[in-house]
Amino acid sequence: MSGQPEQVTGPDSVSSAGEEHGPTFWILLGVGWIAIAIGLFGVFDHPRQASAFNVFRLLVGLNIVNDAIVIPVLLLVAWAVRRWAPAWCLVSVQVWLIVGGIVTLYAYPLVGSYGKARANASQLPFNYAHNLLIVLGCITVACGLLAYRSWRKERTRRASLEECG
Amino acid sequence: MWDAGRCCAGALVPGLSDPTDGGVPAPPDRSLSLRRVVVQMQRFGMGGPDRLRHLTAPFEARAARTVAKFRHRFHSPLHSEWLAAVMGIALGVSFTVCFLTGMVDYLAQNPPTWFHLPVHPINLYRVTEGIHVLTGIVAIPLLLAKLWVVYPNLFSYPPVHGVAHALERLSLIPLVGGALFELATGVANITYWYSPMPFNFTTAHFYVAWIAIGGLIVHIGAKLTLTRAVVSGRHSGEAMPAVEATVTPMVPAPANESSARGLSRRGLLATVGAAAGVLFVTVAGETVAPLRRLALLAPRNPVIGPQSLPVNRTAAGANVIAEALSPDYRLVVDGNCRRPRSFTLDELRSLPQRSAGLPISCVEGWSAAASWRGIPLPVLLAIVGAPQSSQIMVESIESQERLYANSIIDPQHAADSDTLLALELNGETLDLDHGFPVRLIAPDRPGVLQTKWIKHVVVL
Repeated sequence: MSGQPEQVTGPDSVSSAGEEHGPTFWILLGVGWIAIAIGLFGVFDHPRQASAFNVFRLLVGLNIVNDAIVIPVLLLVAWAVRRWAPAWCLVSVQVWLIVGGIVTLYAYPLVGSYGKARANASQLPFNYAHNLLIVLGCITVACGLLAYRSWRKERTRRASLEECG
Repeated sequence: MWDAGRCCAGALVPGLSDPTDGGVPAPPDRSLSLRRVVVQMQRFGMGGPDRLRHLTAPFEARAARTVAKFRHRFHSPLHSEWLAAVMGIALGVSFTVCFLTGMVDYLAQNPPTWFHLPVHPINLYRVTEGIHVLTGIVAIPLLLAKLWVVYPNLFSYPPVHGVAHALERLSLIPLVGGALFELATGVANITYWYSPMPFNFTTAHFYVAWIAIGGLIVHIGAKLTLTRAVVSGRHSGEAMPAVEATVTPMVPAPANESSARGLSRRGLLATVGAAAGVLFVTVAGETVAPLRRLALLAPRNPVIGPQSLPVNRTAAGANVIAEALSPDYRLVVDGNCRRPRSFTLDELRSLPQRSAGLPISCVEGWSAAASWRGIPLPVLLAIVGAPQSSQIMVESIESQERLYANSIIDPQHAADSDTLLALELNGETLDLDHGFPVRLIAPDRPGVLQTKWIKHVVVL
């Protein structure tokens, strides 16, 4: 994989092989769009419970936010990390960012306590900011160990190179 | 398998092998491009063909070159079809499990006449709901990583090439939007954060699940060939032998590019798995008892609450305190029975009692088992002379205009001796927040249908 051109086979090529748009594709296409139609009908058929405008605003909005904001920002972060992180800890930093970022994203509404009911102590019962820090701390320790291992490997490799002259 | 139209690898226009883009070869022209529109317009006599072609060709060429240059920048080995296919398989499995368990849970909560969960095993609803929520949480890192991996394929020129491809790409809107919608609203619901959802959660979540699963089915159809190749080992992340002759290198990395640095494809898979594992371990304890101590990010702890059991709606929140504590409280049993009557709390306590260990299982995914004691519903129905196989409705003290202020008990549950009108929980009189003076507890029913503060039992 390293340093080699990345070969990616896409739908074009598969289509060229004459397999992609065969009967199975058309059957699943039909079944899939029937399921989509059921969902659309259900949303429009329950205007009081599920305002179609509000549902589709969120559905399309999440699509746009993901493609236009979230992923470009992540790509920028990934580029910056690759550019500035030392080679021996790059993987550890990437792992830390991915795992920590996803856990933080999930925990966001918990830490914000947006759903906390004052009169119900059993609902969101923990100090989630504290707990998130504990989880992130564990992830940091694991990634630190990973980085330490990489650093030792790198040091050993350099030492052996120097010995060889 | 998840990335259908996003994976339009190498969809460049013929004759645009720009020296700056590495001389990328182009596939056959099957586009619905401007040029085709021009041809159609010619047929209808809407303009001079040569002139129109002359006018549009530069724009078309420029667009194709821009897209090609942009895609050329994504030279990380992590943007690969192999990774997309493997993640697609995992997502396909998790979303299918989520969809099927979600169907069961929705039907259990909003039962039509033709559906009811069996009374036994008593943990069936608990298991399906737990699997539904936990699978959804585990799918979060999978979905985000998958969308990141296939992101470059969002950009292709021409955007569609044929009706089938157009329909396939169109299905990505319901697929991606639906998947994000389901996971986002699911997390918002289990954390009781309703303000971003200006709609009824269960209704919207149910029908958008159909939209998302429909998009997934179309996508599976489009990606079946590629996925089979990955599963059978014919696709190693490089060119797929079966179609090698037609492969277009999407992102040839420069020879001196440091793409070897950082995470490998398998490394990213392992990292995504680790993120899913961390989420599972820190949340699952709200329903999987052995993991309770690790449930740092669970919205519930199954032993925190009045009488060591969580509560969703409190007595204060339901505005029932005065009536529930009133000395004039009576449980009225009437409807289609021979001896309708009402019972004081002392009379209820003097009736035959039974203990049962039954779980409370909530749609938010938490569940907890407890020891309940009360009057078996069949005993009460026999006292009032209700016919066999009756359907029962129980009504709460709550305003009947509130959602779930009453619930229907199907004949199978009504005839089961584990279905109790409970007076005690874990050896103590029911706490007010748990439904004092009388609440329903039955096997395999969603928590919202275990009606609390019961004042009226109607034999239907």
